[in-house]
Amino acid sequence: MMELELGSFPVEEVRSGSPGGYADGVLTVDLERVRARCLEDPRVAEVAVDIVLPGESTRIVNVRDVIEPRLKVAGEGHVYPAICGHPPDTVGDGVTHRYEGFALLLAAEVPERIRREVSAAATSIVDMSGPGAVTMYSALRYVALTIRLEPALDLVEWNETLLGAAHRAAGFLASYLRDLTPPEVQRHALDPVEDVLPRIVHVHTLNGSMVPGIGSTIYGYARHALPLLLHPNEILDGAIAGDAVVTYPGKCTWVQVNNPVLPQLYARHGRDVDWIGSIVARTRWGAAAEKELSAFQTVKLARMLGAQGALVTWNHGGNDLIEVMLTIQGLERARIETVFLTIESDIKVVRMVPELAETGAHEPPLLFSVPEADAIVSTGTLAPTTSLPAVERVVGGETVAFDFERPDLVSPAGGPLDLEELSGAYSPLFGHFDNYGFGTQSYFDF
Amino acid sequence: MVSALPPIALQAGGNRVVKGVKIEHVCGDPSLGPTGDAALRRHIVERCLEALATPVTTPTLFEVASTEEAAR
Repeated sequence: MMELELGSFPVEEVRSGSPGGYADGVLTVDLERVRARCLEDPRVAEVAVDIVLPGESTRIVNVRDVIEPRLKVAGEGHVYPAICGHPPDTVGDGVTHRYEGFALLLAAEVPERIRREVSAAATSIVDMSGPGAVTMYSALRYVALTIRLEPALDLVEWNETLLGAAHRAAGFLASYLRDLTPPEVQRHALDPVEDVLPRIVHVHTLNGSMVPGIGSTIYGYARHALPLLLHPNEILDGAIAGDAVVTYPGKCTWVQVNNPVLPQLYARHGRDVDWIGSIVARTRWGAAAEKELSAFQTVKLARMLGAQGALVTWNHGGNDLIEVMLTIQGLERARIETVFLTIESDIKVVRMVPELAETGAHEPPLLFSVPEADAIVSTGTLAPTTSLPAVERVVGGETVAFDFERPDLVSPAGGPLDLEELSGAYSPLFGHFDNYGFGTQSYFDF
Repeated sequence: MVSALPPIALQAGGNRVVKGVKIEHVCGDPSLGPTGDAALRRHIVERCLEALATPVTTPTLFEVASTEEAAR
C-alpha cells in the first residue's frame, strides 16, 4: 500500500561556502542564507550558525533538538508533516532524500520564566570528543543554530518559534538534494507475505507532555490521545517530531526517523515475521484510569490486527512505565507473545563500577513491573564519565546550569565539568538514555 | 498514603493506598469548582480515615467514588 524510497546522501565533510550544495560526500553550506531563513520570523532576535564536526574539542550546550534535513521529491505531502506550517497530508509514499550522518542542531538558552514553568527544560550538552563523546550525537556532523528569541514569548510560542526557525533551516539544507541522484536507495514497503509467518506488531509507546501545548507530536498533535496505527513509512517520513523544550533524548526529532527498530523489523519482514505496523500509544497520562484505558485500547487494537507477537518500545522514563507494563500484561494475557526493549535504569548513572553494580543488584532497575514482562531486552545504561575536561570551543551558549533544583549553580560552559557534582537526577549528556539501542556502552564492560 | 498511581504504591509495599485523582492534582479536582473540589477533598480524607481504621495484612487499595459522585 505504501512504498517509500529513501535516498541517502552520506556526508563526509561539511564546509562553509557559497553557493551551497552537495557533491561526492562534501556538503557546502551557505551559512548566511541559513541564518536568513531563520530570521524570516521577526520573533527570532538573534541567530548564530556554526559548523560542528566529530573529533573537535567542541562542546555544544543548550541542545534543544536535532533534526535530520529531509526532502520529499516524489509522492504526497511534506516531510515532518503538520508542524511548522507543513501540510497535514499523509506521508510515507514516494521518494524522500536525506543526509546520512549529518543533522541540523538547534541550541537555545531557556529563559528563566520558562525554566520555572517546565522544570525538565534543563541544559543538555554534546561533547564532540573526549570522555563525554559516548553517544551517537557525538558522531554526527552538524550545522548548529544558536537562537535567541524576543523575550516576551510564552512557553508555547517560544517552542513553536524555535521549531519553525529550525525546520526552515533544515528545509533549506535539504533543498540542496532536490535534483541529485542518491548514491544509496532503500525501498521500504510492507509487502504481502506469502509464507505463513508470525504476525508482529510494534507497540511504539511515546511520551506525551503533561505540560499542555508542548511535547513530541504525531502529525503535529501533541495532546494525549488514544492509540493510533501508523505505517512505519509515515514515521520514516517524520510523522513523529520532537519539541524544543524538554531535551529528553528519546523525544528528539532525529531519533524518530532514525529509530533502529524500524529498519530492523523491515529486515525481518517476509523472512521471519509478518510486520503489521506500529501502534503508537501515548504515555504519561495523569490518572491511573487513563493509563489503563490507553493500555487496554492498545491491546484491543493489536488483537483486532491479528497480532501473534509484539515488540514494545518506549521513549521516556518514570511513570510512563505503568501504561507500558499494563500494555505488556494485556498483550501477554491475550496470548500475544511480547518482548520489551528498554533502558536499564532511567535515573542518572555516573561511572558504574562492578562493586556498585553488585551492591545495587537488589534494587529494581525499573520503577514498575508486571510478572507477564518475562522477555526483556536491555539496551544498558549509558554511564558517562564523572567529569569532562575543558574544551577549546563552545557552541550554543556561555554557561550551563544542569540541575533545575539548584538554578544558581551556573558553570562556564567551556570549563571542566564535574557531572556528578553539577547535575541533578538526570545525566546532562544529550542521548544518555539509549531507548532504541544505538550505543554499545553499558554499566561496565561485562 | 494517597497516590495517583496506586500500582506503584502497592508494588512498593504501601499497606493502605487510597486512590488519588490524578498526578497533576492528587487530592482534589480544580475543574469541579470550589464547592465540588472541597466535597471531593473531604471524601478522600474520609476514605483515608476509614482506611486507617481497617485492619490489613497485605498492601490494600481503597477506591474512592468517582470525581462527580464525590462532589455531589
